[in-house]
Amino acid sequence: MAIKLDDINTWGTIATFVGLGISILTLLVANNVRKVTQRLQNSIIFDKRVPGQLKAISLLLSDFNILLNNTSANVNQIKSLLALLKSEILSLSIKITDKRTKQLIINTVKRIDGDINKSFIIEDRNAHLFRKAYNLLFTVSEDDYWKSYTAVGEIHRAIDNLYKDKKATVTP
Amino acid sequence: MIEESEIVKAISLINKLTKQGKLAWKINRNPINVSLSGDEKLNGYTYETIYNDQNLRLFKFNSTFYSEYDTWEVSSHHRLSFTESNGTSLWDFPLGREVDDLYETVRFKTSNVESFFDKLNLNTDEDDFPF
Repeated sequence: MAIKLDDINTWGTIATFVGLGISILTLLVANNVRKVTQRLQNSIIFDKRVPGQLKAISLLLSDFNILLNNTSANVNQIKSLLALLKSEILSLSIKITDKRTKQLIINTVKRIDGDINKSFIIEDRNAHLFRKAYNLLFTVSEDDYWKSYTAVGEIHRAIDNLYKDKKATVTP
Repeated sequence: MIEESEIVKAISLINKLTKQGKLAWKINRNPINVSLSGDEKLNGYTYETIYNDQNLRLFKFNSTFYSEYDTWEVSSHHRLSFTESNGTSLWDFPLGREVDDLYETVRFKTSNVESFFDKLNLNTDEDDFPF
């Protein structure tokens, strides 16, 4: 039986398309496997590292609370402590997938950067409008430190809840 | 439904007002109707205040967690509650580290540590050191 050249061309084209289809499918599956592996890896890192980091943040916040007993006398210590808090929450952010908590971390890091870089002043409520505007832009007050303390507290509680929810799902 | 972040903010505000002396707490040495359940036991006094026409009570308690028949663990927590004027608990804030910090602040403020150190007047030149 003679094989026509046209038939070979047709089958060759079909085989090429089938091969292409299989390649694309394999690529998609591989990509999905990579994502699942990454998610599992993050999940394991989250379980192993987060409790320790939450404990560290909690201790730093307790120290922060004590320093706020006399803010103006403890400005340098507060700034050092804020730097430590910043590195802890930044380290946490890469292990978190929850978008809301991630955004909260980004906003808080910006706030902490401002607190560290600006100089501290005791707020004068009777200050002139221009003075108030200057202070708002270039200085930090005790209220700003309280806002940072509260924001980090929110992050701590949010991640603590994520961890507890995850544990409850895995081990009923 | 109250969001967790609102709870954190509320407790933080109460903490700030307490530190700034805008919210004063009283020690209650003979508390009644304290909201405790099961193996929970009051540890120390309770502290009470009124904020925005709402009675608040703060206290420390120990709770025992039995992991097995003869194995248990005692841990301390702090509870912040809305109460009626007769001390009956209406609602408890969720447990959390913010309440622990608030308790530390309230204890510091009600123990008059600041006035004690002010009276010692230790912040003087070395030559004037009192001893």
